[in-house]
Amino acid sequence: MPARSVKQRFLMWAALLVVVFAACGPIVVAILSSFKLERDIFTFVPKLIVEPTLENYQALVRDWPQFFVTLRRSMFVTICSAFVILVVSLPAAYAYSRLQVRGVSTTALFLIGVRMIPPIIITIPLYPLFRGLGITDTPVALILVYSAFEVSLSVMLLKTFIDGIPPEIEEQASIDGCSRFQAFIRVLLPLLAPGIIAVILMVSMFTWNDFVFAFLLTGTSAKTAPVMIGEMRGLIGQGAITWGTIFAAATVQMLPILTLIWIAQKRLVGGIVMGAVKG
Amino acid sequence: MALTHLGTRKTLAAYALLVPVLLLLTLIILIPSLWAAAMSLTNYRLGQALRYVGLDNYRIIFSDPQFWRSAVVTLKFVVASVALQMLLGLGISLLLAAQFFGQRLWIALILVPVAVTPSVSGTMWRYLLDFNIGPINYIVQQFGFERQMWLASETLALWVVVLVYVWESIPYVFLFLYPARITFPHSMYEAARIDGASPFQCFRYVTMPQLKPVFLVAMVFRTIFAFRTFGLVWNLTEGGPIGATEILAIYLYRQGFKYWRFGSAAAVAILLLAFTVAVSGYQIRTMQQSVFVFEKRK
Repeated sequence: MPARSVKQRFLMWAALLVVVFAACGPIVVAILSSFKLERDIFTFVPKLIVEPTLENYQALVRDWPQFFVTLRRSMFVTICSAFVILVVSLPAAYAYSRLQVRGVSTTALFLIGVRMIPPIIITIPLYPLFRGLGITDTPVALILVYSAFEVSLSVMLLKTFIDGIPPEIEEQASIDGCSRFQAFIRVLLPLLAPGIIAVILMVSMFTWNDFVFAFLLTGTSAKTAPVMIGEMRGLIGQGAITWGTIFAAATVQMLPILTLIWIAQKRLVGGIVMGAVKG
Repeated sequence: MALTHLGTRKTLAAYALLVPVLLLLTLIILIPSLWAAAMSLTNYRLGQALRYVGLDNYRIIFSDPQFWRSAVVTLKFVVASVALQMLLGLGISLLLAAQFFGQRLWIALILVPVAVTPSVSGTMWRYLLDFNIGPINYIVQQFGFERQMWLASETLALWVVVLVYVWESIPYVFLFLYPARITFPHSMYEAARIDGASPFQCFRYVTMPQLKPVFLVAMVFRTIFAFRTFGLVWNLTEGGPIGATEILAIYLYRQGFKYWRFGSAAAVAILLLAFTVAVSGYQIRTMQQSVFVFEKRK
C-alpha cells in the first residue's frame, strides 16, 4: 500500500468511527439508559450526564421474577440445543470429511437445501403436530426445532475443521492399535476443540437470540427471554412497566453474548470470517 | 474382492454416521414442509373436520386485497433493504480492508448488531424513534426539522423499518464481502496503480470483477432472508399502522395464528417457499459443490 496522505487517513478514520457509532450507538444508549432514573429517560432533551442508579435492576428483580424464569429457560434450551447439535453433527462431519464414498456428498445437497426452507413454514404444521404429541409449549419442542435448523451450519463448519487435520494422525493411531472410533475420540476430538468451541458459540448465539420460533411455538410455560422482553415492551403504553426496567432486562439478556464476543474476540472474529469464506 | 468388501463397509459406515442428521432434518423440517404443502390444499382449522379443497386457499388469498397490499409492502421492503444493505455493506467492507490500528476490535464492534435479539433491537429503536422522548426526534429538531411519528406514520413507517432492518443486516453482508476482499493480493492493486488507475478505476476494474461472485451469493442470501423477515418488523410495528408494514410473514402469522386459518397460512408459506427456491435453487448446488464435493479421485 502506498502511503496515504494525512487528509485521506483522517477521512478514513472518521468514516470508521461513524460506522462503529451507528452499529453500537443504539445498544450503548439502551445499556446506559438501564442505569438512568425514569425522569432522566423521560425527557425530550436527552440527558447525557446523570447520576447512575440501580433502581431499574432492583425493580426488575422485585416485580418481574417471571423474566428470570424465562432467562433460565433460555439458558437451558441453548445448552441442550448445542449438545444435541454437536452429538448429531460430529459423526456427520466426520463422514463427509474422512469417508469419501460415492453418494455421500450428494446428501449434502439435502443438508443445505432443507436449511433454506423458511422457518415460518414449518411452524404451521408443527404447531398442531406438537399439540398432538403434547410437547407444544415445552422446551423440548424448541430444542428439536433449533437443532434441526442449526445442524447444517454446524456440520459444514466441523467438516472444514476436520479437513484441516491431516488424516495421517489418526492412521498412526490405528497402527498403534486404536479402532477408528477410539482414534476419533482420543486423537481427533481433542484436536477439534477450537472447531467445537466455534460451533458452540455460533449455535448458542442463534438459539439464545431466536424470536420467531419461541414466539410462535410457545405459550406461557415455555416462553424464552426474547419473547418475554417483547411482551414487557408491549406493556409500556399501559404504564405497567418503565423504560428503565425494560432496558435493564434487555441489558441482562445481552450481557452473556456481549461478554462472549469480548472474550472470544480473537477466535470468534477469525472463526466467523473463516466460516463465511468456506460457507 | 476384498477391496470391494472394504468399500461396502466404508459406505455403510458413512451412511450410518449420517443417519442422525438426516433423520433430524427429515422429521423436523422436510416432512412438516411437505405437510404444509398438503395443508394448503385443505380447509385445515383447529377443531374442524379436514376437507380437501383443491386450490381454494390460493384463490382466496389471491382475491384478498390485504394479501396484495402485503405483497407490495414486501416487495418494497425487500428491494429497498437489500439494495441499501449491499451498498453500505460493500462500502464498509472496502473501508475495513484498508486495515486500521485495532482492526480486530473494530470488526467485533461492527458485528455487534448481530448479537441483539429482535425484541431487544425493536425495543431499543422504538425508544430512539419515540415521538416524545426519542433522541432521534431531538436531533431532527436541532437541525430545524419537525419531529415525526416515525413508526406510526403511514408514509414513513415502512422506510424507517427498512432502515432499522438494514442496521441489523449489514454485519451479515460484511461477513461475506470482507473476508473475500482481504484475500486479493496487493500486487493486483500495485499493478493497476503503476498503469495509472485512479482509485475509482481500481474499484471498478480490479475490486468489483473479483468480488462479483461473492457479492452475488451474498445478495441471494440477503434477499431470501429479507423476504422471510418476521421478528424485527413485528417488534417494531406489528405490521401497522393500518398494514403499512405488514410484510408477508406477518400476513401469514395473522392468517395462521390469529384467525386459525392454517390452510390459507400454509398456502402463503408455500408461496414463500416457491420464491425461495426460485431465487436460491442454483445457489444451493454451488454451495454444496464448494464445501462438500471432494476433489476428483481416480
